[in-house]
Amino acid sequence: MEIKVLGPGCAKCKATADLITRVAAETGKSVSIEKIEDMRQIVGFGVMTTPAVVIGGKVVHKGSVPSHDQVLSWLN
Amino acid sequence: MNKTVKKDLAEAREVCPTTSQRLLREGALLVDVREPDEVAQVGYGGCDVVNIPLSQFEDRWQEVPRDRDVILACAMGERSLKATYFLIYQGYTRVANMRPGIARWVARGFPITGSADAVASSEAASSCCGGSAAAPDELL
Repeated sequence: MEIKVLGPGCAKCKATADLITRVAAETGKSVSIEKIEDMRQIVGFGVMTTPAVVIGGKVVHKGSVPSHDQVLSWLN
Repeated sequence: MNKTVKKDLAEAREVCPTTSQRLLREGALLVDVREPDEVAQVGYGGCDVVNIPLSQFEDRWQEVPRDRDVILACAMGERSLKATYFLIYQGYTRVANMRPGIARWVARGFPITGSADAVASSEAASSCCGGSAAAPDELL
């Protein structure tokens, strides 16, 4: 599963990527995480509030670090 | 969440405060995306300026005119760059980002509202990441 984490590289963006990595490891899911830190590319998804998460080309979350359960629902 | 439309955005035009001054004299509008408390302390003056805080920008971007040159500004030029790209995403073409922001504007002696002493705190408040959403407890 290809997941993009959109954010300028701040602590919340890193926490989001780390959380997804951790939940994927817990559930045994294979994920590929790409961090998008370039503002032009981030806003190219129509996103103003970061961190944001893109799965399958769709923005599934934006504006905060997601919860553990949210990440779990994306991976299942 | 709404359907995602990904776009390859054109590179934003960036202008310094001095060039911005010229464009503003020629009729451009300045959009200050800093938060109201920052603007209350020290604001851009001597030009046509509106305040649309970045925290409200997704709801209020349609207030920005399409038929006029627009310069986006903030404290450093990072938040306003995000707003500039968002307007480009929405199809605006007459937009530019001011970089750097209020400190250089003050240093150049351009008109302001409020106190120049507040410049440092406005720069300190600058962050282009979502500030309202706290991380879950497990991550703190």
